[in-house]
Amino acid sequence: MKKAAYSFPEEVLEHVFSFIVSDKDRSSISLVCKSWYEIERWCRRKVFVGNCYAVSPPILIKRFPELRSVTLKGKPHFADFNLVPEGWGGFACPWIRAMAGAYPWLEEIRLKRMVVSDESLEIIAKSFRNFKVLVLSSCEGFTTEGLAAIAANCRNLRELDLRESEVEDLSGRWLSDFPDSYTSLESLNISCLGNEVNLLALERLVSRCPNLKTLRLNRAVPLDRLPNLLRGAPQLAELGTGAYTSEMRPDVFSNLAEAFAGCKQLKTLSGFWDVLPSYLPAVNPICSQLISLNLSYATVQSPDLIKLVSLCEKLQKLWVLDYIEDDGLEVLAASCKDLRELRVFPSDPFGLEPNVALTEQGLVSVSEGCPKLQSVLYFCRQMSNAALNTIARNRPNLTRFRLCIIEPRSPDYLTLQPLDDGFGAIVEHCKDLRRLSLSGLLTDRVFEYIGTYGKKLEMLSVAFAGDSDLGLHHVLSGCDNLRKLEIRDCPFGDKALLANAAKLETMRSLWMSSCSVSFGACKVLGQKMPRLNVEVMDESGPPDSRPESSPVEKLYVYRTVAGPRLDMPGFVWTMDDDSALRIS
Amino acid sequence: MSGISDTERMITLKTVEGTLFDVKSSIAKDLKTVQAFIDDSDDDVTSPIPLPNVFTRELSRILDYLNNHHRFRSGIEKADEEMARYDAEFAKSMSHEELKALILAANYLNVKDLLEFLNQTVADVIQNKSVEFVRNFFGIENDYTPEEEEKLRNENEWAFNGVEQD
Repeated sequence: MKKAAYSFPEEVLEHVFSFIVSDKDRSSISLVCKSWYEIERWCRRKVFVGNCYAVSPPILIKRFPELRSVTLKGKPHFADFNLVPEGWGGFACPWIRAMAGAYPWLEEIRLKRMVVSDESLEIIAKSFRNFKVLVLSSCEGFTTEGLAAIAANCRNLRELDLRESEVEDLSGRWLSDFPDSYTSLESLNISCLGNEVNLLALERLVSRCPNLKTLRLNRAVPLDRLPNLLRGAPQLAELGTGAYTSEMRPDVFSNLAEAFAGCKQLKTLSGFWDVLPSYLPAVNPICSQLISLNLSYATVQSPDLIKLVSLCEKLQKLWVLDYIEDDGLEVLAASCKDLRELRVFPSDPFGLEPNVALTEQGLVSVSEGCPKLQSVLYFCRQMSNAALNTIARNRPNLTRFRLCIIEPRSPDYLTLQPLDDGFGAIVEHCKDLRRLSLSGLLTDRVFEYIGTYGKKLEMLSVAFAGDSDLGLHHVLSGCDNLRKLEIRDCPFGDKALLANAAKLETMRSLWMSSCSVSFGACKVLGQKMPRLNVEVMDESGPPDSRPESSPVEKLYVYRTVAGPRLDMPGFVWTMDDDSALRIS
Repeated sequence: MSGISDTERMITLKTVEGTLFDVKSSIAKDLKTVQAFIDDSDDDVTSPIPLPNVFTRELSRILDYLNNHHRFRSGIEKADEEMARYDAEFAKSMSHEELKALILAANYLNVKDLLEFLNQTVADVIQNKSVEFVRNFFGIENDYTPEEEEKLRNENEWAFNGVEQD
C-alpha cells in the first residue's frame, strides 16, 4: 500500500499551491486526493468561468469560499455578429448579488459579453471594500450612472476597463465622482463612451494618479487636450488617443510631438479616430519603442501608414485597416521582424467592388518576412490555394488563423476551385493551430483535412461552407481538442450531430444557426444527453408549432453542471429530458 | 549580552544523527526556529542546540544555501545573476526525494527565503503535469472512488477551465 512518504504540512502545501495559477493545474491539484481538494478549494483565489451557464453562483461559492478574482463569460461569440437576439441572457446580476454576499474581500470582476445593470454596478461599489479591478468587455445594459457609483465608492480601484461595451452615456459628469483623495488608478479604458467626459476632471485625475499606466480615451477627447494629459502622466505605457484631428496649427503639432517624446515608457498606442495625416508624425519620437499599435480606426491611406509602420522596428502587434494595402504589408514585413499578431480590418465591407489594393499577396509577404508571426485575422476579397499553401509553409508556427473573404463562397480566384486544399495546407503544416476561422468556397473536403490534421484545434468558426453532414462529422470525430464550434449557414444536419452526441460532452459549446438541424433531432439530443443544455432559439414562434422535421433557427448546445437555465426569454426553448418544451 | 560582536559568535547545532555544525550567529538568524530558541533562552546558549527533525544531509544543504546567499549579497556587482545561477544549480543537484526532504527541514527550521525558492521549485515541477504524476511525486494515494473522480473532473473541466480566448 502506497503511503504518503512525506506528510507535507498544510501550510507548505498552501505555499506550493500559491505558485500554481493555471486553471488546469489547480484542477489537477484538486483531483490528487480528498484532503488536497479541501486545501485547494480554500486557497483558490482566482476563477475563470468560460460559460456562465455551465455552472451557477451557489455551486461556485460552495466550492470556492475565498475567491478574490472572478472572470465570467456570457453570450456565445457569434453575438459579436448580431446573431444572438436581444434579451437572450448572460445576466450578471444574479452572480454579482451572490458574490456580494459571499465574498466581501473580492477584488476583481471581469465580465465578457454579459448584461450588466446599473444596479449591479451599485452593488459592486458598495459591497467590496477592497475592490480593485473591473473589466467589462463587450458588455451592455448599464449607464454612466452605474460608473458614477463605482467612481464614488471604490477607494482602492486600480483598473476600470470598459472595452467595447455598449454604455448608455447620460453624462460625462461621472468622472468627477472620483474623490480628490483618490489616487490609485492604474488603468482606465473609456474608449467606448459616446459623450464628452468632464475634461478638467480627467486631467486632474490623470495627473494625481502616479501609477497610471494605461489610459484609453474616447473619441470625444479633442487632440489639443492630449499634450496636457500626457504631461500629467509621463509614466504611461499604453495610450489610446481620442479624435486625432485638429486645426492644422504648427504649435499644436510641436506641442503634441514634445508631449509624446516625454513618454519614455509608452509602448502601446490606439485610438486615432478621424486622423489628420499630417498629425501622424507627432508620434514618431516614440515609434522605435512601440510594441503594439492599433490603427483600426485610422482612415489614412497607405503612404502615411507606411511612413509610420516602417519606424516601428519593435512592433509585435498591429491592428490596421486594409488601407495599408499590399504595399504597406510588404514594408511591414521588411521592417517589423518581431511581429507576432496582425489584424487587417475591412474599410468598406459592404462595398461591391474593392476600394483598396489589398489582396492575398499582403498576407503572403508578412508570412514570409515575419518569422514570429503567430496570430492572424485578415479580411480580404480574394484568396488562392497557392497563397494559403505558401503561407502555411512559411509560417508553421501559426496558432491563430482567421481568414475572412468578404463575399461568401468565394472560390480560388485563379483556378475557380474551392479553397479546401489551401486551408488543408494550413491545418497540416501549422501543427499548433488552436484557432481557425474559415471562409470562401469550401466543400466537405476541407473538413476532412481539419479532422485529420487539426489535432490541437480548440475553436473553429465556419460559415457558408460544406456540402453535407459528412463535413460536420469529420470535425466532430477528428478534432481531439475541440472545445468551441460555431457554425452558420451550412448544410449540416441531424445525422452528424446525433452520431457525435458524446463528443459534445467534451466541448464547451456548439452553436449552429441557419443549418439543417431539425427540431426532432434537438429533442432527441436533449433527452439523450442530460449533462448538456440543448437550447433552441426561434423568434418566429414555438418550434413545436411546426413539424418535427423542420429545421430550427438556432441551436446552442453546451456542457453544464448546473442543469437547464431558469432565465430563458420567450424565444429560447430547452430540450432537456423531462420536458421537451418549456413554455415560458 | 557580552561585548563580542554578533558576527563572531558561533552557534552549534546537532542533527538527528548527532553531527555537530558550527554556525555563525548571523547565519543562524535565518533559521528562525533556532533564533527563537536562542531568544527564549535566558542565558547565552553554549551547548549544542538539538534539531530532532533535521538530518545531516538537509542541514548541510541549508547552511550551504545560506552561506552562499550571504556571500552574494555582501558582494558588490552581479549578485542577482550569480544567485540565480547558484539557485538553478542547487535545485538541479537534488533528486525529487531530496527536494521534498529539504522542504520539510526548511519548513521546520523556518528558513523563509529558502522555503520560498524550494516551494516555487516544486510548483514548477508539478506544473502542467498529470494528476498521476503529482500523486507519485508526493507519494499520495488516491482516495477518490472512480465515480467521485469522474464527477469532479467534469465539474472542473466544464465549469472552470479556460480555453482559447475570443
